[in-house]
Amino acid sequence: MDRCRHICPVILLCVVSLATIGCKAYTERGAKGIGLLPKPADAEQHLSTYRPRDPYSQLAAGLLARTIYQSAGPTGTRIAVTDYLIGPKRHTSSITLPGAAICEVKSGDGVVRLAGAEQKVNSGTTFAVAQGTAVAFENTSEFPFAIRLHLIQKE
Amino acid sequence: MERHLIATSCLVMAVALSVAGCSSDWPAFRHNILRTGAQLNNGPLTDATTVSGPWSTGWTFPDSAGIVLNPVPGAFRAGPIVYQGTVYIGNSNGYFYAIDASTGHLKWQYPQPNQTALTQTFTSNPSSAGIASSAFITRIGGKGAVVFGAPDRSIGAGLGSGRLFALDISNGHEIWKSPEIAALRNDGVTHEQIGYSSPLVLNDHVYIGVADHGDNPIQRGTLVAVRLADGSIDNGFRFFSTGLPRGGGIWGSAAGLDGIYVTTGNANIGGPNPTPNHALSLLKLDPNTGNIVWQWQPVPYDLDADPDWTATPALMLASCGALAVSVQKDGWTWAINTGSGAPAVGTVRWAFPSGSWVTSGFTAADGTIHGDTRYLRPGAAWNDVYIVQTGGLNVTTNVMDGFRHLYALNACANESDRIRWIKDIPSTNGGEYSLGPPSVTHGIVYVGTDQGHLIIIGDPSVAAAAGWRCSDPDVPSNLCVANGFSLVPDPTVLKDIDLHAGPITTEPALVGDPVFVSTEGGKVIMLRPGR
Repeated sequence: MDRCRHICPVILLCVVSLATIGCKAYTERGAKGIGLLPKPADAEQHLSTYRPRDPYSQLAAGLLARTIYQSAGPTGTRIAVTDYLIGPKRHTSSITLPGAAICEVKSGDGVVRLAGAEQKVNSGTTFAVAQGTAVAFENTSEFPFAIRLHLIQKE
Repeated sequence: MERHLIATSCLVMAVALSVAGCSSDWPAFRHNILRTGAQLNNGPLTDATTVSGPWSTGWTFPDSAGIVLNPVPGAFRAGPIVYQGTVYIGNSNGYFYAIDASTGHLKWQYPQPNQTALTQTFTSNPSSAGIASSAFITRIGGKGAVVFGAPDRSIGAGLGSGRLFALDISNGHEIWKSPEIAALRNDGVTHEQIGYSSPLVLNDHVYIGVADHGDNPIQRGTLVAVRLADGSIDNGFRFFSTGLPRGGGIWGSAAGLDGIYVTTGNANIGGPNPTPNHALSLLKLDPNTGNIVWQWQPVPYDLDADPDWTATPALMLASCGALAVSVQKDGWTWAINTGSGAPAVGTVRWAFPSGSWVTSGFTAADGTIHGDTRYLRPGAAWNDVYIVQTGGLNVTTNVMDGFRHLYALNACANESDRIRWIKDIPSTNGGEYSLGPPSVTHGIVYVGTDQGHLIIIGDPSVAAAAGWRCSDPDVPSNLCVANGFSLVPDPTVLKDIDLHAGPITTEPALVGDPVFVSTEGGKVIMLRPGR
């Protein structure tokens, strides 16, 4: 292994050198495939025709939501599985859920504010929200903060 | 002595790269020993304007063969290997064909039509049928040779145990056949196979992975090294993915650089954690001994719900250093620094998507799920860009969504710039086998689909993008920026060609001018831009 510690970097250098200069017709020594792609200032004016199959919509300021499943529950109730999504470093306004909910954080880190009390949560955390409770979310990470809610609503 | 070793190593690498790395042919699975899936040479296929124009089919095998093949080819699960005017490819019917690349005529086949086909009695996996191992071109004893893995009923218990074959590329005559490598027995237990694994020739050896026909019961994965000169097994090289009795099949192909890089399948089908457990890992091995240099195992045994790591790793000689990059079946893509110290845990450069798991892997507390979702295809590496079918920012909430997307990831960028572009590939069913492995040449990406189309798209540095879309595929573009996400390019589809020959699960071979594609419909097609 000691020998490899000395030799392997040299071999690697050989490989890199050959890959860079060894190919007769290899002319890509500019930015293509290396540099980042420039983003024009008016990118929002040139959106593609792409449409998500399972799109979120804006539920409240800073809060995206979609319902992925719903069904009649026990007598007089309705069950819905809903995803909430808060973008990196964003926070939501306060909302009141349409029912009681069991929630699981599916990705990211953030803060949940339930009736004024704060709880730090991250991927894997579960928590419950009682019906009628005001709730707000804050994404404290650089990653999407996604929460899956199992909502139980009165019909 | 050491100086001599360094010089020898450089010479070996130079030869390997001259044969594979810089070849205008397509002499190996993923083109070269680094498994980049990249053609570095210029030609009509690298010109966005040319490939956007009309295309024509040169020939379709076996229609072009010049004789009637008996049996007719079934599905092609191996990709076309192209070297000095000949296409080499094995078929699920158990025959290996050498096809004239310019005419489509059959040059030779192995075995001969009146000889027993290379098949096995177990057929539970698509790779179980005939020859699924893409070939590798090399030289043995001064003559050109083609090496591939296949079942053979003349050895072992007569059921079709796996072995390696080395044939003279000029006439198909045997140079050697290895001893039994993957054992198939009628004991209700033993059902190893070579399957999809394609040989890697490096260090005067041929390395081949062994997996199985399914998880009932799961087999112990191994990487076997045979001597290139005579096909004998080198027992000085030894790597088993797990302790007995099970797990860690090597479904993909080894990549080679300053070591041997492999990915391993799952181990947990109930029962205790095997010791050792190198399943569900990306590993770097010593090419002489098989000893582990480093291992990255992001999914622990308790979370193993069958997320085999099967995609062949690509070794990227990126501007930020050499990286081993691969997507695991659960949808996460990992980039590991190749130079990680020994013996040690691999050091992660990045994960996509990123999260708390980057530093030490997943835990039961993080709520992530790691199941049998089929992110199986190796990606393509083009300079600092890794192009791959992977889960995206929505992998924890919509894991299946990534099957229809191709991502380009900036391997050396900051986390916020990881996504270079995202493309919804057209002409797919959107399911787990939507795409074959992508191939790339100078920023132009070629990929086959399950609807039998060859799709060509251009990196926005070589062809203007169709527009911008959100970095999270589930967020509508018009809501993207206001909610803290980024807009990323949606590249242009330069061409969508319906080959009318069945689904494509293999890589397009890019050879200067023509593209060679093999299909589930039993065809090999040569097509090229122009009328």
